Amino acid sequence: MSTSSSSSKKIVLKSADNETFEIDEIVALESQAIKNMIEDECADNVIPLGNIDSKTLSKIIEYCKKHAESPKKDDNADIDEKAVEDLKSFDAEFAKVDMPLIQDILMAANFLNIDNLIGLMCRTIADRIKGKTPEEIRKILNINKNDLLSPEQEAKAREENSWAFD
Amino acid sequence: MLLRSGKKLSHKNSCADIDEINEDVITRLPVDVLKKILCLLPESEANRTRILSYKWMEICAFLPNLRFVMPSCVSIQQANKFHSFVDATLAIRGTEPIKRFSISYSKICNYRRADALLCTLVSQYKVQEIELMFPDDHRKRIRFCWPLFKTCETLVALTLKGKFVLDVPGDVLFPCLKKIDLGMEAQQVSSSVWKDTQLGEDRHLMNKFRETV
Repeated sequence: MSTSSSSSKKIVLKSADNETFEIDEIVALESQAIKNMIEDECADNVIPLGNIDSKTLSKIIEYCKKHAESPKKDDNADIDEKAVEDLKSFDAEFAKVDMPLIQDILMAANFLNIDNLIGLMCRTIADRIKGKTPEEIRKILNINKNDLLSPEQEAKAREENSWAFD
Repeated sequence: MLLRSGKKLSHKNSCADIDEINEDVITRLPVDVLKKILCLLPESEANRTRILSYKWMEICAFLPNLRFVMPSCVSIQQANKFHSFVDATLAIRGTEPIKRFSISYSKICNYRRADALLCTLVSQYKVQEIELMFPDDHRKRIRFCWPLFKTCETLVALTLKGKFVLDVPGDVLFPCLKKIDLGMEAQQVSSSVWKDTQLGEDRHLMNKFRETV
């Protein structure tokens, strides 16, 4: 097991609001985008993330830390089930945040290319809109009012896909 | 420019409209991510999202599985509208491969366009499963276009419902077909067709079909 010690290599991430986060390289490597940057040696000591605010970034680091600490599936065929359960309940707790933050995390996870986190946020959003009416979904996702279809366009879309609306 | 940014700022400060502050983040996400969300919903729910907004209207066109049901039409003009809608959906999609394509036609439809659609699906969309339904119309028999599938190396499942004439040339080969469901009143089929097909897992289905012919 790789325990994070003070001797391990550190990476500094800088958020849009200029807050810096020093993390172990192994945690940063959860992000495929950062991993590529490090491998291509185009990462400076400080990696600026101009489109991610500190609130979102600290959540993402929390997630990456936990997942970096947990044994990876391909490490060992028989990883103990407790670790899997532990990670599952961590994910469930992690996703208990409001929708704007979920969307910000998803946006950032997509930018940083953290596959598991993208999946978790997509599942969370899907669970929250499942079984809801279009009107409810618009509210939940805070869809821009200027972007709505006209009544005629909506009627046409409903008609073209009537099987889905029955 | 200055004026616009100033206006935006005052909106933020006034807190008058919460929607102005909590920006519509979700629609800024790339289609690939939104598609992931939709794939986690039941198919009909995923397709209902097309009325959410302009952006969402197009996302459904990129789902791995596409499903179309033609409303019962009273005129060929009305039917053509449906055909155009299907074509427009594929035009939005571009060339992204389709996993399952399901289409159900009603009595009045344009068979030429239906055939052209199959051509497009097979030649451009690497489609894996096709489900094709025509209504039972005693005046019409649809000749199924087997030769089209000669070179389709992606199709693994084919479901046909309705009245088809299965007059198949002997040289038809299905490179990948594993499952074929002919839940219909097929008219005839030349026995040589099955000889060369490489049906694996669902051979029994095929035999069942043979008995009923």
